Amino acid sequence: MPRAWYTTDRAQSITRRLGAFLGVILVVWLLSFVPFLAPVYHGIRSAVYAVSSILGRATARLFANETSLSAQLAVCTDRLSIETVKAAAVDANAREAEEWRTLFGYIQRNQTQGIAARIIARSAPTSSTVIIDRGAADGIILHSAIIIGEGVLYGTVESVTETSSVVRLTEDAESAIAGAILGKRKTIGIVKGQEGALLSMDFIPQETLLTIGDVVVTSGLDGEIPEGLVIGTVSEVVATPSAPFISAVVALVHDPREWTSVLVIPPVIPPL
Amino acid sequence: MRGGILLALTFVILCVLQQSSLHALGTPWASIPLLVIAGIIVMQRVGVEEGIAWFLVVSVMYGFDLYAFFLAIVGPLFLLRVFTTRSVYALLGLGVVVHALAGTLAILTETLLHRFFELSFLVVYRTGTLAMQTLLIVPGLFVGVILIRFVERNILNRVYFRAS
Repeated sequence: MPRAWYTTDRAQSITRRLGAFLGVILVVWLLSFVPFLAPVYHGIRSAVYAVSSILGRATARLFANETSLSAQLAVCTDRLSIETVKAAAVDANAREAEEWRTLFGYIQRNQTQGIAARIIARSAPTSSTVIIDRGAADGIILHSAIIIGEGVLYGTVESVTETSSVVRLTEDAESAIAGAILGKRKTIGIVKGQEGALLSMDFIPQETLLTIGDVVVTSGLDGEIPEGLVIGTVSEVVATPSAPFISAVVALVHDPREWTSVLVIPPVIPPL
Repeated sequence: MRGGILLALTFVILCVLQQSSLHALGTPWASIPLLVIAGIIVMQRVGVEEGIAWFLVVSVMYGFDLYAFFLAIVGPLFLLRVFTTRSVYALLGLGVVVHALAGTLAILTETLLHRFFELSFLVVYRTGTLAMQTLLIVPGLFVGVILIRFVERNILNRVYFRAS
């Protein structure tokens, strides 16, 4: 009677060899999940990688001379990196110079006093505050107005240290500024920050005629922020017939993230 | 059994070299299919069954890679029917033909799977590396044969077989 194929010596030998082969690989694979062996695996791979990297760089140097395409590409890549950094610096300087030009234009037109400052840090998007590089030692006082461009209100000084100040932006949820709408007649209201980049102007008398696009400026009635600084434009009018007041949604005329140079205008009536 | 353990340890060492060492060496060394070269040598010199197991493990290790799976299928066919001698030339022929055929089959299968079942594969990458690897596999197999002969004569014959 012939023997079944799996009972032959050859079949058993193959089974043993394959079993050992697969078994050892399985054990090694399972051992890689043991936490205290992980650093050993990582160490071996890192060491092999480090040695190979050295060998790879050495072979690359051996085969690549200065005229080879790879060497030329490396030189061009280095030059491109340097030129990119230079271009970025030139672009930043040009933007900053433009910001200063508009700020000095505002000073000359209004014959006002101001302290030039630079934004050195920005908060998380939820709190809308920035830090400027001027503080009490430079003459910054609380509730000073912060201006960008040609007379756009950026925020007010919230707190002052010796060398820096925290500025609360106009769109911050806790910001409240006495504002006016320049339309057919000057309308007084309170401009408050909202969640997001929009502002709301509340307590506008019901009979006021508002149109989309009206410019919202500071009224100067709070005695801290000068009159006539641009806050934004009316983008929506919210009116309830039974309510004594109406409100308006105000859109900012600037993107607060784009500015790095500001002008600090001291309060009209200094705090006691 | 000792042969199986030795083969498994060789597999593990080659895995480490393939993933850590060759990638760090850069082009063209990174394209050398070390595990495939070793698998073809194993299939010819150690045994067809070991070769099939080798490629199946490679396939599983790389996420059920179709290329290694096809190597496990077409490798034994060509070894047992076409390149039946154990010469170096047969090994080189086996390596080139099997590699090119398995690579082509894998690309076709992946393209069809992508066409009809919208499964994504790195077909473009594989097409680009297939030609390069076909060129690299010849010197790789040649060096591999020299190494395996050296190991057989100077290490295995003196240590392993004497110990067993």
